[in-house]
Amino acid sequence: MSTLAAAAPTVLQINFGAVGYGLAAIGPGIGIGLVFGHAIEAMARQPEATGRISLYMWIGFSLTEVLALLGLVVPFIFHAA
Amino acid sequence: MRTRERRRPGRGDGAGDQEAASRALGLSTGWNVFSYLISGMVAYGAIGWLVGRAVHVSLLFPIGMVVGLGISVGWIIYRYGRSGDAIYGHGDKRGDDR
Amino acid sequence: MTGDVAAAATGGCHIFSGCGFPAPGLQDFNFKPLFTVGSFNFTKPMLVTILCAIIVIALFWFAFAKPKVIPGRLQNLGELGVLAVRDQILRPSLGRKGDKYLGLLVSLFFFILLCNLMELIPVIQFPSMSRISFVVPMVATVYVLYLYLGFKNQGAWGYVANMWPRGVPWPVYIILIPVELLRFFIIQPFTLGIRLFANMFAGHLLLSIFMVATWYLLTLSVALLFAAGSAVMVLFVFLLELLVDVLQAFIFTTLTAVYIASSLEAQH
Repeated sequence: MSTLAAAAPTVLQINFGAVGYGLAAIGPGIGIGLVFGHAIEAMARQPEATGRISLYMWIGFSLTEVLALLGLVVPFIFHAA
Repeated sequence: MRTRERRRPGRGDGAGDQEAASRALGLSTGWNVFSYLISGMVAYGAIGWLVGRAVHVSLLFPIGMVVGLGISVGWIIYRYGRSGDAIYGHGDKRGDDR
Repeated sequence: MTGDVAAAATGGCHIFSGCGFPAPGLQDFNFKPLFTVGSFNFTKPMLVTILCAIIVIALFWFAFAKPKVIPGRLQNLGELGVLAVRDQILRPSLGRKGDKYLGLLVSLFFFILLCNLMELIPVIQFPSMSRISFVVPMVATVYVLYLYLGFKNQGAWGYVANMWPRGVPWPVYIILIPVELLRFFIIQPFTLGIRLFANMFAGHLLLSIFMVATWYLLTLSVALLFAAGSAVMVLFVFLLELLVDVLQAFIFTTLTAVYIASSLEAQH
């Protein structure tokens, strides 16, 4: 009996900030994969355009990554306000 | 296994070398971009937090982080958005890490 | 095994026997000490890391102890390793003049690679780089090295001025100074270490979750199907971890070479 009680699951305590960041990272994860995937495909089709393509690749990556990092910021907003 | 006949590594042609160089440059560019994002957020988050402690407005901390994110994105777009030659070392002769 | 996974194992805790899933977690990264000297605990990760270091040293020592013009087997393997690091990691960033850093890069690469691969070898099954205390000295070594080289070759002000933004109006310049300073001195070495640490930590956790789940589900009931599925996942995660181990060692060493190269830039 004591082992049953000891092994019973504890009360569920959800850290919404962590869950929020996890959900916020889904979209940018897909987006960054798309950015790099299409960039790689374009570079494979036309290797001499590699410089120009990688330029837009980094711009696209940074803009997409911002959304994932905003997921880290938002819990602090709701904690402060 | 006597391997005298096997082609020894390091005797590769120049094309492989160039590809390895651009791979190293691409790797470092990628992590540079990411470091700019993180450090913009952290730097202005810290500034916002310190100012927020001084004026007792704790909302300045996340506002600082968002502002820092914006600044670093703008800087990345400016710096990496010049001609592609600037990244691959011909235009800006100091290369990516300057 | 550590923590409640071990406790559950000795109790024969499978599904449908009344105990919950003994989920691997942070407690599985803490090990009971093998022996204690004063207040210093000697644990299994330390033993594994020392073993890796000894193996790497011994392999390269015996490979190059008596080098012959026509190499024997071990010397051939050693040459393969050294030349692979030199041509894929060192030469692209540093060029020919960087050959004096080959010793550092070869040691770093093979040490990290072997420590990472320990995650997959039975009985050991722990990547020592998944504890941050093993990553920090390596990052500190590399950091101090490239800062020292930068200051020595370009002067204190010249090296720091290397990263100042150019061609921007001066208000933008002022705004960018905290970002650049923080990035160069703190965030860059931090990401170097955290990348290796987080990959190894997550990989070890993933592998142990699926392995414990396979064992937990192994009962003569419908759970056997799920145990089979979990075993297939173990195979996939094993292959993924093999890739990640080699890749992380390669990335760490390549970025070390790139940072050293940017410190030496003034020598053009």
